[in-house]
Amino acid sequence: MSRGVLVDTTLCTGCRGCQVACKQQNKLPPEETTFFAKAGGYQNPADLSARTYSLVTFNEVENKNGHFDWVFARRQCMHCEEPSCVSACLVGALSKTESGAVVYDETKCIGCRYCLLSCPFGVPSFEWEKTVPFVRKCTFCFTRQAGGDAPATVNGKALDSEQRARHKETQTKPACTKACHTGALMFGEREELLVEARNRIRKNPKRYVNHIYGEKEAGGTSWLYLAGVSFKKLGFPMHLGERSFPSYAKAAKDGVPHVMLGVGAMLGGFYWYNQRCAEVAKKGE
Amino acid sequence: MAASFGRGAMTNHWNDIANSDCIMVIGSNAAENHPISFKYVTRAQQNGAKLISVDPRYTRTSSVSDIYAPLRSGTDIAFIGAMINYALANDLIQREYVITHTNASFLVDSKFKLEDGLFGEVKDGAYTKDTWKFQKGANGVIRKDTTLKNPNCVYQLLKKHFARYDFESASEITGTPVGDLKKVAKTFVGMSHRPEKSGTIMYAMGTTQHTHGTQNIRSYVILQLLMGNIGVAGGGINALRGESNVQGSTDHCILFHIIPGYLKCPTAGNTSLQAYLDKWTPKTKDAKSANWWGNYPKYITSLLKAFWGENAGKSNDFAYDYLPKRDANYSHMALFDAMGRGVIKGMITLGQNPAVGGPSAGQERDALGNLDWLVAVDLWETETAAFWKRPGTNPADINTEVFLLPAAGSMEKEGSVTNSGRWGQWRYRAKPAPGDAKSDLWMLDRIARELKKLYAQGGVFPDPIVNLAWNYGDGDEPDPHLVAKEINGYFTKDCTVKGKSFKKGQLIPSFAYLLDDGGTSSGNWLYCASYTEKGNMMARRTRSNLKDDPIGLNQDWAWCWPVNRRIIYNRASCDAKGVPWAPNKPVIAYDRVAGKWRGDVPDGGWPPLLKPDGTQDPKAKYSFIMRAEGHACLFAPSLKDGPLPEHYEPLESPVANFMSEQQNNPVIKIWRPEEIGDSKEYPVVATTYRVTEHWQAGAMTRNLPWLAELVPDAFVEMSCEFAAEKGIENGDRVAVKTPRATIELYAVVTPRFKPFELKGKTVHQVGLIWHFGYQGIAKGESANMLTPMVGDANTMIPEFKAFLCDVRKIGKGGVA
Amino acid sequence: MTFQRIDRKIVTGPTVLLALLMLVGLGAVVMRMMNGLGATTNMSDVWPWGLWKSFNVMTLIALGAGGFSSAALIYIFGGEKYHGFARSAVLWGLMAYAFAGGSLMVDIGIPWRIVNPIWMWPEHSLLFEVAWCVMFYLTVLALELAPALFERFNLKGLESAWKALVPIYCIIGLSFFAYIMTHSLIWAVVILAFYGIVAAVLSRAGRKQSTPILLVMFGIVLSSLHQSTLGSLFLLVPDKLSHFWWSPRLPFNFLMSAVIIGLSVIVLERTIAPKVFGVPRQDELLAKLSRFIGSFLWLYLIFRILDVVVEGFSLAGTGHLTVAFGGPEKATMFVSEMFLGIAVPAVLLSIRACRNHVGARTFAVMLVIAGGIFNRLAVCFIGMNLPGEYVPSMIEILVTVGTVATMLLLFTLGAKLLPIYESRRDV
Repeated sequence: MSRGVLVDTTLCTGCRGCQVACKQQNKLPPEETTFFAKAGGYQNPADLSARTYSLVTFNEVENKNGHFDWVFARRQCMHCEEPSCVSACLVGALSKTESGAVVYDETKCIGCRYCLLSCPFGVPSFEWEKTVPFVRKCTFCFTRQAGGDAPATVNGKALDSEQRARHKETQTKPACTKACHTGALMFGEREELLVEARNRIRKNPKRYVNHIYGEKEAGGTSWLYLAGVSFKKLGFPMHLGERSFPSYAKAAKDGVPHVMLGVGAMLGGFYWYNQRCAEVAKKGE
Repeated sequence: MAASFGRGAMTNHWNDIANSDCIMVIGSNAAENHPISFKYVTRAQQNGAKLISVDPRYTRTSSVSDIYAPLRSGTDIAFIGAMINYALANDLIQREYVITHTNASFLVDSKFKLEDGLFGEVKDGAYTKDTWKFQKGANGVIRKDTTLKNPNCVYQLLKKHFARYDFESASEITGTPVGDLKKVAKTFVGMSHRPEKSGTIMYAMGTTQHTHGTQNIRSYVILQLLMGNIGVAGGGINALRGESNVQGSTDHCILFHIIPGYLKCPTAGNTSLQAYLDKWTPKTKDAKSANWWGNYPKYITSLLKAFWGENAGKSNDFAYDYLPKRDANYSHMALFDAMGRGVIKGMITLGQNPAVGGPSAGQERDALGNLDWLVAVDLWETETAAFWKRPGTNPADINTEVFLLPAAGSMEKEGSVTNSGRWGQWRYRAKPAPGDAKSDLWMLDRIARELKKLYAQGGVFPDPIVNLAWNYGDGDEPDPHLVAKEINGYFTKDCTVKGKSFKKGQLIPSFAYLLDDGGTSSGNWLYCASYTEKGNMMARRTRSNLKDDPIGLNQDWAWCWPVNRRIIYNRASCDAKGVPWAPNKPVIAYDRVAGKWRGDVPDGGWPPLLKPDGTQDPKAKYSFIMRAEGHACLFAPSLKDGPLPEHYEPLESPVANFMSEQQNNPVIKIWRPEEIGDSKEYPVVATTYRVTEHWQAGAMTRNLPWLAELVPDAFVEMSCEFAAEKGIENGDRVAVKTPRATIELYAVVTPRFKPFELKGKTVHQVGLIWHFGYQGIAKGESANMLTPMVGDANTMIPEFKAFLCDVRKIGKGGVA
Repeated sequence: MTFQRIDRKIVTGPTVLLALLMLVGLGAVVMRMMNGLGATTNMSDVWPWGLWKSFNVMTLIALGAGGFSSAALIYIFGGEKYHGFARSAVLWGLMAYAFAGGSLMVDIGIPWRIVNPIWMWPEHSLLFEVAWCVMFYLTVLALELAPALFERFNLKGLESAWKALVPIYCIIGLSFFAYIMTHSLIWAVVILAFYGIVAAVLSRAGRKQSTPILLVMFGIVLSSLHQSTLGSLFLLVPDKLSHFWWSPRLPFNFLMSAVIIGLSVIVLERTIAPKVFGVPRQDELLAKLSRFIGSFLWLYLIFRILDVVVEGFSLAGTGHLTVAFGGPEKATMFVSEMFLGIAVPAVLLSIRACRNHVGARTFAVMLVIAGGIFNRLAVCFIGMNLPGEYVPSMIEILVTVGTVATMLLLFTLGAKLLPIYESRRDV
């Protein structure tokens, strides 16, 4: 059961509550920003960084009906189904959990930044300014997802089972999805979210472009997006294809023992042949 | 809205927005400034509702709307007027509702007319109002024509009045393309005029902060009454409060002209309690009118008992003489004007930052320097608290002694807040306040106790202070529960009211039990029932489920004034026989078998006007019980600037008034005529607004690094067309100039602003965010340095939203 | 074949210059360690791999490929006439690999954790494979060079122990390697059995070799793996690397070019060494070796061009052709690489006269090497379709310069202290 988030950009009001909730949850220091570092709205900071795990992007675009629109999308780790970063990491500091989160263990990391290079979405960030730097990125609030049991009482009052369930539900969802009040961020099982996304498109084909971003991109991601404009206009990479990147690497890696046998046999064969030739030549003399 | 319905509050509540079929957001940018409201707006949209956003620029609200229409700041009446005209001309109104619940059928004085933009004679800056009245019959009851055919009936007057606001004329004023205007009118009227459908209007400061702000709201009122949208689920006119407790503080008399519970602040002429009551208790001769304000004597007496306890009795007019009597206007601008003239010598400011938030803020900053002392109570050292060391001043030249008292934040103290939807919700203390920070309750308690001590030693008139009932516990921190209980009120003696016996000291179950003989005390009659013998009703936290509560009243969640009524004027949600207009989302319905209303707490328990057989029910009362005449006012004679809304230009406007010779609201007060800009020198319309990321004058947010990161500096937004004309690029530094001041900020050049075409003239508008000042982490210049010192004719709210300016480029920016 | 050390003064003008450059590089390393990567390099989240990864690691390893290429040529394919090249190639390889590893310590965020892959075994990481290959291959190079030490210090006992133990080390190493790469005991056993049999068969097959054949095989297997895997690393960036360079066949391109570059470096080194160290000129041998290089170049050229053509066809329908290949500057770079780095030297080395002409031959191999360096830099950053640009900082350049200087210095010292070059009388 792999969980994900459905981001419906048509519901997003760009309030950035999720962006701040993320900083609060992860206790991230603020960035000293300049006046709107990017044109097209209020986007700030300009990009993801080791201090900014998630970012609402502001896009002044023309929508599919030809009208001007101001569209807010979101960038954070996509938590790929088959993550490039996990495939890349040479010490296993990154891993994909069963719940869908791609998590990072800083006690293993050596700081090689192959994960940064390999990420199709430009997500992981490095603490460049530190002398002992780590990689930072959205954790899918992995620790929240694991916890969240309700206390026995709140404000001196015992909680009933319904309240406890609600407490658990709100405390275990990722902080950004808890902060989102319009339903633009919907947390749930990825398969169910895909059904929901398809339903929304089917029910309201005028509102959406017929594309669930993340369903197939680079092998699929846990985070899924709906939009009323082409994702290209929102700055999403459009050329990733449907094949997961790690599948290329896996093919190469799986070849290792075969190469060991093949090259060994070939070398042995040649060697043996050359030696035989030499012997024959010697005998012939 | 008080002039139209009887109460000046959000008619419905946040959750109820989800029940709407059409939501018009005008004079508000709710998605940005009331973000949580969009939880419910989105829900409504998912159920098929249309969202309309009307705003001078394309906002984050517009970004999720189904229809966006631009309008020039300050032209709401023309815009809504066109919608009203469309509805009236095409008879797309809910006629039965209008006849039953509004004063459409009332006959107005036959001499009433609008001439040259005036509703009669103006003398000494005020209307004489001699024609603003209804015709009355011999029995003193207002004459009506329920066929609505009489040319003097309100309906016919409305039709005539708004016929002038056709789409084309309105478009020339508002700058809204005719097509957009038509689309909005057709959608809103089309979606909401049918009985089973409801449309709501969400508004905020974009509506009120004009010289004709009250009339802007009046135009919404008329539209909504014609649509039959008041009192119903998913309807209403929802005033979105800018702060979590604005409603609460207004209920408890933060404004100068009222005392708790919207009782009038006595004026110099109200020399005795009787004189006061004679002046302010409304009367009616119509037996069907409940005239709830007829209970006025009970409420003021109980309030006086709450103030002075045992020391308020029949013998001393319940200490009425202790109440100060006002003889002037003490609104924000008047106070600062008086400070500037050296009349006011000292000020305590709690959680307010006029050095950033006040109009013509530069002059307000100067005025602070005329004080002998200033006490600033806030979480941070605000611009107001630090006015003496602001850039460009020499602290040595300022003689004001400033005390900065560190205050506890809202999470650091216990108590209640009342939200826009009138819900009083109890909050607990999450953590103790840091350092020496104290709750404002603590501070006021200390001040009061110290004053009592000092006045006990003598003074000019010590009695009101010395005799003050002040019992909030003996602890260091006053007990907020004692405060809440006092607000609710106690029986002050053993008595029997309405067949029930009560003991002295018992909490009063509801304001229906209040007495005018001193037998009860209540700090605010509206809150009577909020803290009863059953406990603290505001602390309730039970959600209802959709099955039992399809319209989400959530009656067991917190507590709502009045008497836990979630949607006020809810009797108007039913026809004259008590059957809901919208059976799929009933607010209340009359149960003939039980003989009582079901659903929400009704606006009075009387039966509906008609029996099932169509005959009059003698026990029945009209639905708008807070109006003496029992009906909602399409025609509202009680306002200062006209019974019907008429378009006037903002005080500073780029064009002449196309509707009449009368350029501005005729009865506004202009403080400094020499500071009014004209359109030749200042051709650009400017407005101010907020962004999600910062809050009001910014003390709470510009000091938070996470929020400073999002919006680090002040900016002015402008259209690409205007920027091209001025050679300005996105991110450049620009100077914005008005007769009041010139400030420098960053330019945001965006297609979200578009120039307006007004009768062939191209007019540009720019928008500034006003959160900034010289304190905190994120600093920037204050937009309110620019705003004019002029206010609404009725409320004195300054005209922040429409003024003139000039913009020029001063430096290159560095935007990536 | 016997080897001898270069009996010349250690402290000379050039060595002093190299030592100074080394110190400058060391200073730059200290700066980087004290101030962190952000302050001293121009790398960023968008350009996470810079000069150090591309040159100090990727390129140096390609330049060090001569060790295994020559070993294959000499020991496997019967090119015994090149035996004299073996030790210098191995010493150079050892330098290249050691400094690739050393540079990595400068490059990674937490240098002391460079040992982490020794006990942290992820399942799918190609970089993990590279790390282990390089570690093992360093031991192989060291063991291959060991005879020079034995000779120099007359360590007969150690030598026989070496001869006896090296095959065992190789077999165990190979099967262990197979295990940690596959996490499969079966594979480990299969490899163990296979190489056991190979060892048994081959030990009877041929004459005595100066280097145990299993060590040679181990080296070649590891090199084939990691030289190609360095290319495979970039299989994860089909979205970023221009498809002039990226294709699923990237590992083959890397392996081929590594062999070509490695052999070219030997030619270059053998051209310079007589001038610097006074070792005998081997023009005839170098011409022959160059012919191999030339043939390989043709193969490589055809492969690369076909590769791009196939890539183009496979992308033709997707609409992402231009996004995948990048702008005209990428095309220009690709054509230049093909032409100057491959086609021109291929032509030159295919012409006998040119092969036999020292200047032409040297020019040709220098083009090959330059093309190879460019190729590695291109794959690592120059060929990336990413926003902005990356230009190495001064500190980055100084570290790289210092690294190369140190390698040359140590190689010189090695040649002067150990019997690396063949004795004049053997030529």
